Amino acid sequence: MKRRHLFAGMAGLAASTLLLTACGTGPSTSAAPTPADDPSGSITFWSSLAGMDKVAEAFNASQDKIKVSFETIPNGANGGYAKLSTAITAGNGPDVATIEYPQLPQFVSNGQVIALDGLINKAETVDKLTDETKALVQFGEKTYALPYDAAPMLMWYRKDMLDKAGVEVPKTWDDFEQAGKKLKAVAPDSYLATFNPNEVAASAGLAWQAGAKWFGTEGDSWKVGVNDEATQKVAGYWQKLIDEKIVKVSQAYSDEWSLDLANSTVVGVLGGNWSATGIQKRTEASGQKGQWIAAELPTWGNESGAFYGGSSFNVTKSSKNPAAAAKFVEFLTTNQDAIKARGNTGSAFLAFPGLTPVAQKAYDSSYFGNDIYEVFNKAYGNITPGWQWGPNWDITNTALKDAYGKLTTGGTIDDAIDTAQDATVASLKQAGLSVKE
Amino acid sequence: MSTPTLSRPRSTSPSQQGHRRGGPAFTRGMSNRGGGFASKLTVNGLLLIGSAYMVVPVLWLVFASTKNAADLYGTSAYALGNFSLFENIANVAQQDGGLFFRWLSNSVMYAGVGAVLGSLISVMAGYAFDKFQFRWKDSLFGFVLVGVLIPNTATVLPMYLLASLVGMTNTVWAVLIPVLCNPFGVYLARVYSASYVPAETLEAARMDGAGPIRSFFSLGLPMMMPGYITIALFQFVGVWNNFMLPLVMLQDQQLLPVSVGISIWQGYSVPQPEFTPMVITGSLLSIIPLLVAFILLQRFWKSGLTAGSVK
Amino acid sequence: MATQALTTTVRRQGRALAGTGGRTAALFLVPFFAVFVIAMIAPVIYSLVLSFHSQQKSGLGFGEAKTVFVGLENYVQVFQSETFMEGIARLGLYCLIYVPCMVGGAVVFALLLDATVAKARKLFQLLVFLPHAVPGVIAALIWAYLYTPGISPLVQALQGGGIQINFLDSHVVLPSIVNIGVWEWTGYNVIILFTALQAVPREILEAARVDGAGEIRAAVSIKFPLILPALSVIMLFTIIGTLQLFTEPNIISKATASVTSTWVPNLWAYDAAFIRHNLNQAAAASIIIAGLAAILSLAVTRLSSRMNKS
Repeated sequence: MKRRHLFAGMAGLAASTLLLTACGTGPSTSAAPTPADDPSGSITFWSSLAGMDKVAEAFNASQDKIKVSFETIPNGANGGYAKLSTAITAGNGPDVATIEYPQLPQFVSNGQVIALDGLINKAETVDKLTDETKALVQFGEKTYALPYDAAPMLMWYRKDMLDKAGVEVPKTWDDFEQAGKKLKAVAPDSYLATFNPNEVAASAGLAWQAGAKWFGTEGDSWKVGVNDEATQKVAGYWQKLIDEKIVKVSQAYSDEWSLDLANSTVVGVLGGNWSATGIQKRTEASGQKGQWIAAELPTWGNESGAFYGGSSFNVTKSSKNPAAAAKFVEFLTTNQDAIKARGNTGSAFLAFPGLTPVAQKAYDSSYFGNDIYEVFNKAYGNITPGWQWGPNWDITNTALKDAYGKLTTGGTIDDAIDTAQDATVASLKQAGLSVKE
Repeated sequence: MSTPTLSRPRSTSPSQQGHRRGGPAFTRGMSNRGGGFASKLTVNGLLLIGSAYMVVPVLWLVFASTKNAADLYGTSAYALGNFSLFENIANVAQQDGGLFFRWLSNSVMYAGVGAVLGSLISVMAGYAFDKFQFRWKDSLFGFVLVGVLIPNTATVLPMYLLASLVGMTNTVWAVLIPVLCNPFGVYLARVYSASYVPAETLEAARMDGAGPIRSFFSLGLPMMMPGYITIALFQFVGVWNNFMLPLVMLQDQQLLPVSVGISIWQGYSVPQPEFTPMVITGSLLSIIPLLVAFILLQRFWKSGLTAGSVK
Repeated sequence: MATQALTTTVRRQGRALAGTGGRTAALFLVPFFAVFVIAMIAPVIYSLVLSFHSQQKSGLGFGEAKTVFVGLENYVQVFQSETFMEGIARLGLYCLIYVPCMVGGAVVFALLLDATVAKARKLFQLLVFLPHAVPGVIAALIWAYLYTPGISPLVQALQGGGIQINFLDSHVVLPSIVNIGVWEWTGYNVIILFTALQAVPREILEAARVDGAGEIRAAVSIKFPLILPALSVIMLFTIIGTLQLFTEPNIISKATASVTSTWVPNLWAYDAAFIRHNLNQAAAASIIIAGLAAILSLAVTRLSSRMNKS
């Protein structure tokens, strides 16, 4: 999710200038030369991630063949993708764009991003990624993006509240429910976590972890299963938690949510590695330093996990200089200088091997009560394979978000996923796509 | 709405009001015998409550602009907390290199062009409908009336689709051209033309050899000036307030008017609460121009509103 | 004098004189109608054309889309969409609450202003008109904050009195949005009505007073019927205006999950165009909305002219 970068960005801007001046003169570990001839020219780069302006500057400073001009755009929730899509269709989109994994298939299927094969050095980039990460950017044997971050889904807990309730960090979802009940016994007004109607990707992640497959392809058809068995299991479980008041329904990042974190009404956050900065910002004024820890997601019994958020970089159809654009994309996603240039913009966890330690060094994680990067690494190793995003994430996202609006007035998560399933199938069929359920 | 019978727009000049209100003492005295509910206290009390309802939100905005993020949530609404108004204004001004002022100037440009040029176009058309005779006059005016009755927003998406087809989205023209279109202005202009420009004057000018265009610019328009200003004022406010059109047409942040710009900041303020004071202060700054215009140009407002409602 | 006026009239109604006929008129009319065609006629026609077609992909959708003529299929899909029809029903409900509140409030306020015992009329007029100087977006933002617990003095005050209302809850959010509209528009209409009230001839009011009618009686039986023409125009524009609802729900939707992305028809059309990327369906929805506006206007105009005749 881009949000982590956004709310991290504001905090990190001050600290980053030192890092930038330092890295501009150091030796750079450049990727192996691309198969294409030496590309050059001017390219444009759009992103809503914090710190990307500095990365563009660093790239420009490190060589003089390609000049990148950067423009910040709103994030997805604020119409960033609509803007990108409209611009590409009109022919005046950027050369390089930032697209999160759920939205990527949509851009691919609309022909708005081009395949990178032939423009990048596959051996040095794509082939070094884990299979689960590769699956996020490869469609039909072609690579359409280079992944930037890989964001494993995690839980964050108030260790002191868990201790107060006399529970260990939950390892399974059963443990989680029990922990919630024990918490209620000692702190009746507190909740172990929140269910966020505006964070549909979280629902997707939970379903992913349980082995659901919301989208898949069967021959020449899409198979849509937003309400498949695994998802129904997850839906029923979380509805139980809501009914038992172990989990509160509230909008993530809302004032209500922020206040609840600050006054210990909510003691757990279902998030990703990027949640760290947001939690710190909302709780440090209430003396919660050292109380928050990161933990792997509770499981259904076996090692499993999911990604929650994360962005990739792409070359769009509007690009008049794809070779240069691809070279910049390689820099962005595999070059340590690109990470250093960003400075401290949060607890980033990157897909390309070797980059995460660089980000880790730039980030001050002393606020937290355990080694959060160790947890990130463990979680990253347990991603459930086989998940695919569908050809139009926006439809499912909007339908599910709207349906969740009824959660506070008697609706259930189960109803919501059924509604979302119907809406998704209908919309895809209306566009002429071949869909099976 | 049938072809309007053209009548002079009601003036609310102080003299007229005074003439009615300051009538013979005995009438006023007698009306006070109403007593009970119509008593001074009740009437003025209710007026006060009503006005308070109108003003309090704006007042809240003023107070809220003086607070930084922490105080917004911490202190009570009408307390002052740490006075951070200038800090907030500075943040608004600095954000993204002065983007807010770019937005303000965009709003002024769109509204200004719509007001000045769009109203001129409407006034010319209204004048023609009033003063000239030609075939299809009624049908053409019928089109104008249909235009008045179709809500703005119903045509925004079709306009976007057409602009997309010709590749004009995300340009200033995507907003500037639609704001020139003001059918209600044509209707008003016809009313004003009939009231302010006597046919005799125009005929005298024609006798003297002035062509129709010259008589319009040297006689007709100057005589209609109060009407023109009113139409321009309405158009200015209408365009300044327009949200859906620029939202749909424009993606480039440099082209946005202030209404859309602030809504984008509001979107940012959800994950980044630091934006909230900027949204609030920016809102305050953006309503000041209109408030000033309103207060200074009240007279034109009232005449415009009433001209439109008198059949 | 009279003959001169008569001849002038006759001449005006007769054949067009030099310089007042079609060709000159054209000069004056062309700019407006040019813009009118570009900004209104052409878009509507293009939308009509779009609405009869559809972009169809096949299979997995990774290939090019084809433009296909589908007749009324898009319209069928729009009318079959539950969320669209809900949006229309919601608009109807909005109207039912909004129109009486706003128009009623404006009438009462105008009558109060017109009461002989009212003081500081100029000031009250200015204050009541103030909200209209605030753009719709800003008004919605202000009220969104005023509805948010933690910031809002309103919520705080109510909580102090023991009342817990969540203005953004799905049960209450519609009246909350109605309130924003009322706040924005009442003052505007008060001025219209008040000015219409100024035109009520003194003689009638004096006669009523002589007959012993109190202020309220005079207001209800005399002033009110005489401002009905102005009132009917207000009703017309207000009802048509509710079809425009977009800005306020758009802003409030960022503050609460109760306002969905298809809450009103304009939002539905926006969602169709920019979220679901189905421009053809969006075009159909826009045509339907414009058509509804036309039907409503006709209905209200007919109704009010019939009422005025009686």
